Amino acid sequence: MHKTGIIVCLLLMSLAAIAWHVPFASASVSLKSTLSTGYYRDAEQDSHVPAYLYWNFNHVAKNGIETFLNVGLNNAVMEDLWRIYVYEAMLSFPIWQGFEDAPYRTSRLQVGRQLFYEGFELSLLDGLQLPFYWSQTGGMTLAAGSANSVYVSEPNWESQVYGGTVHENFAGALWKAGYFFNYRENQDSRNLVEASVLKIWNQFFLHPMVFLRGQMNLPSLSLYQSMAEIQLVPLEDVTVNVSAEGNLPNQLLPENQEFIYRMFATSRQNTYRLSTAWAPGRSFHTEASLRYILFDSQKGDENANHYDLSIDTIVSDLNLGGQVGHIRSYGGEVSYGGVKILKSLSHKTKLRLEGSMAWVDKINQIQGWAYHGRSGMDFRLASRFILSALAEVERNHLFDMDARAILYVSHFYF
Amino acid sequence: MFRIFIFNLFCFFMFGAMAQAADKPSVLILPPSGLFSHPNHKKVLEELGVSCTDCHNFSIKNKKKGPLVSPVPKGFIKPSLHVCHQCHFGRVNLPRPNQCEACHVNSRALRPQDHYIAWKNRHGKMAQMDRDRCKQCHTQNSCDQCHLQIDTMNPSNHPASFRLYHSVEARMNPQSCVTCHQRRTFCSDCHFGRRQ
Repeated sequence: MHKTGIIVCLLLMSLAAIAWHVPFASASVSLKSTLSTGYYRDAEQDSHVPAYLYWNFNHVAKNGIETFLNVGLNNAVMEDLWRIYVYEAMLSFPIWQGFEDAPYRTSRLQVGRQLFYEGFELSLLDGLQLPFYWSQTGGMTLAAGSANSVYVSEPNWESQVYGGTVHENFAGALWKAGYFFNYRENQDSRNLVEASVLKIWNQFFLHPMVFLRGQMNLPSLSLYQSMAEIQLVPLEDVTVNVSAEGNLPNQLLPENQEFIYRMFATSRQNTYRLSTAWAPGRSFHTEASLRYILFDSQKGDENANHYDLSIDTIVSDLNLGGQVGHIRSYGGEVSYGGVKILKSLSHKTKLRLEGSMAWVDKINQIQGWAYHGRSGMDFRLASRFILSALAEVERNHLFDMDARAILYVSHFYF
Repeated sequence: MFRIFIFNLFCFFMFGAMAQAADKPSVLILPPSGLFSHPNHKKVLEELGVSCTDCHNFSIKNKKKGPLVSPVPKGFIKPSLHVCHQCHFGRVNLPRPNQCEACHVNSRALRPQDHYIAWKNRHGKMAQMDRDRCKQCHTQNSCDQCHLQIDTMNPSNHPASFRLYHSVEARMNPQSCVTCHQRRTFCSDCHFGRRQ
């Protein structure tokens, strides 16, 4: 493992060296390097010192070609266990520079490792994506490559996806439709078709918004996944949102990656949600939500619910947030509450305070209170260096009193 | 008990009303003159072909009238407030949760209205509907912070003490676990002793 660690360090150092020299030769470079480390004990009282290095690099050349790199290096220091993660390694070639008042809608070819989010799925794609706009409201996106779990570092060609989507504004609504052929090694291929519509009636009473989406596998013509959402604005500051969803695990990934889902559920998961938010201004926001979830487990029908009330307010340079809630499932019940405070002391220092408590009653007969507190400071050591030092304590059925220390050092260049 | 509830409700609405009264857009970390550095931008702007008059375009006229008043005020070379956004609003990417934080103290106060309601549940669906609208403020790095980066000391989307009651939540909403945790060995890493 030592060898791997040294190779990885050399690789990152060479990347940093390239980044150091690139600003003198290119148009625009921005990068962020974050080193974080900490200390904690596990339930067996063994000590752990994890260390993470994240390196994020973005370069825009004069000809508009962009380079994105997001790499993570992790080491469990006590065990000398190294891991490297490539979250993003992509080149973007501009085809069209976008519109005067919407420069973010650029037609481009993206090559490399990137996020792929279409239909109901979120995956890492090793391949190509081609977003192309013919108007500010219309365009298409083509995609081809292997779909990977977000945890996979090496490209895995077991599941491949080819297809695209088209979107256009028509009759005052945004319509989107797409087709993806999903090749899966040692399994039947899928022909996934999806369609969505989003319509807002701003001129009518309650300003209703309707959002519908469905996905089906063409040969079986079965509706794999679907969702419907209605949003109303009964008062100027009050919004009510009601939704119903039927979801399956990511359909583009190999079946063995649904393992955790299959431990708890054997059917599609249906979720019904009612949320209401009161936001009288940008400085104050409160939200209450209720979720009711249904699915089949290996034992039979299961249902669960979740209530949550949160408040978020900004008074001058003070951010204050609070949350209370209750979860009930066939795994037990949890009632929780907590507060978060973020206060700017000066333009160089920020204070963080967090505290929370929860009552836990689980099916394995564990019952009791869990407490957690965290406090720390952010320091801007120089214009491009930020240091965050945090200490946290917790008390629960595993620990009478456990303490942790966390340190972040970030360097920015832009 | 009922009186305490009514008192809490009263405080809650009063606090909301006070926050509304004090409502103002997010302030800047430093005055604009302290945020923008000509030497730091000079090379980049030259290479991107941005000239002086693209920002300092003489569009600000003097409000005072009269023959002895100069046609433009002394601060005429001061560019308009939104000139930074010409580049930083969708054209230039900074690797931060969102690039607004480069200059604004409190980027939460800049959130658009639709981010206020059930946004943790809805943001993915809205991004899938209109993928490039997010690019006004965010890069893929914003998604990576929660969906990809592994930081067991400070997981961004699990509350404190989650380690103790994740079994209850996994049995409530198994779909949400597999959005990120797709590795078969993820559970056994802790439950069979490889990691605690």
